[in-house]
Amino acid sequence: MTRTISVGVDLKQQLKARAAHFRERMAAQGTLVVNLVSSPGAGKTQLLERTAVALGEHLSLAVLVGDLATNRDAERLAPYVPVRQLTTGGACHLEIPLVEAGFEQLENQRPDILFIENVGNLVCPASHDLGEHMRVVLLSVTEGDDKPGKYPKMYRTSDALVISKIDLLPYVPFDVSFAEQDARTIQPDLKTLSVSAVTGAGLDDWCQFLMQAHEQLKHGNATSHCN
Amino acid sequence: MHEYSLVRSLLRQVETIVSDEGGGVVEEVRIEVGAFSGVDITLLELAFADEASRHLGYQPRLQTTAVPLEVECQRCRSRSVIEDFEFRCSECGHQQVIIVSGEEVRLMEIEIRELNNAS
Ligand SMILES: Nc1nc2c(ncn2[C@@H]2O[C@H](COP(=O)(O)OP(=O)(O)O)[C@@H](O)[C@H]2O)c(=O)[nH]1
Ligand SMILES: [Mg+2]
Ligand SMILES: [Zn+2]
Repeated sequence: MTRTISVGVDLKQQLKARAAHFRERMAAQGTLVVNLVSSPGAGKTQLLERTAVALGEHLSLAVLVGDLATNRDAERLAPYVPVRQLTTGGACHLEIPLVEAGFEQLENQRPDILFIENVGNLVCPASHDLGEHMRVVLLSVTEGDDKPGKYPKMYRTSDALVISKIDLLPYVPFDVSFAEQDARTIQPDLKTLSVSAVTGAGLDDWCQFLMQAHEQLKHGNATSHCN
Repeated sequence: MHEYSLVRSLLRQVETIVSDEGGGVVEEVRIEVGAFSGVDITLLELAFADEASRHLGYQPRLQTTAVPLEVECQRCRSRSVIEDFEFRCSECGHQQVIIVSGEEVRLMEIEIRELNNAS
């Protein structure tokens, strides 16, 4: 005899609940969690190096950095900020259990801002909530200004777009306002910034933006588009 | 990659539910896949074909139903289906819309053959 069991559950229910719990726990202790995503090489680690130096005077920071393999990014960041490398063993994105485990190993368990540098990939990380309060997508000018529309889920779930490597604008055909507009058809509330981690252009605005977001979190009105 | 880990999680959930229900042979698993879930149905079906027999020791059918990406307008409250990922109300053109469906992969039903009554 056959029979049908009705279920009706979200397959990611458990992971989503864990991420929501981590987000609440971090908010309660005053830690703003920022998930940095981009394609490989857009400049996430370099931006974090500069951010750690510039913002480190004002706020306490910590970084969890994800890669398929190697500790190279953690080694780059270690002189500036408490950091733990998360290696996914081949998986193309981070998941909340890795983040929870990495967090437990940090020397600084109560940073004002916890950065998570995700694995370089614009597809899978879009579908994985890491318990962040803010998702920031980096787009470097050498990737082309037509990219936001090609990765709708990533842009829809992000809170801010950082256009990176703007020191290279004289050498590549990249229209900043076109890229911003393209992204806003997917996410009209997207905050947009632009930086060069080489010249330091835009770094002050970026740090201001982070400090404001941290203030807002402390006063209990953080918003996030991730799910 | 991501489809494989999703299928493994699906199979674990199916096994738990079936054993809580007194056991049986799984004949068919029915799922809904949102157009904005980040999951590709073809890849999911391939992953299921690969993983199910390894996990269960036999191969049940997988029935997938695509769920469109639907949004609700924050101005006029009407609902629109988004096909080109331009998030905009099809009634009034407003851009402030919230997603109401199409983001999830849901396990809907499991069809089982009960062991003691098997013929
Ligand atoms: N010209 C220029 N190069 C940069 C900038 N930021 C990073 N890079 C270079 O881009 C490459 C990749 O940067 P990295 O931070 O490792 O990118 P990630 O993979 O996103 O972490 C490195 O060779 C960096 O030196 C920038 O603002 N301007
Ligand atoms: Mg890096
Ligand atoms: Zn409307």
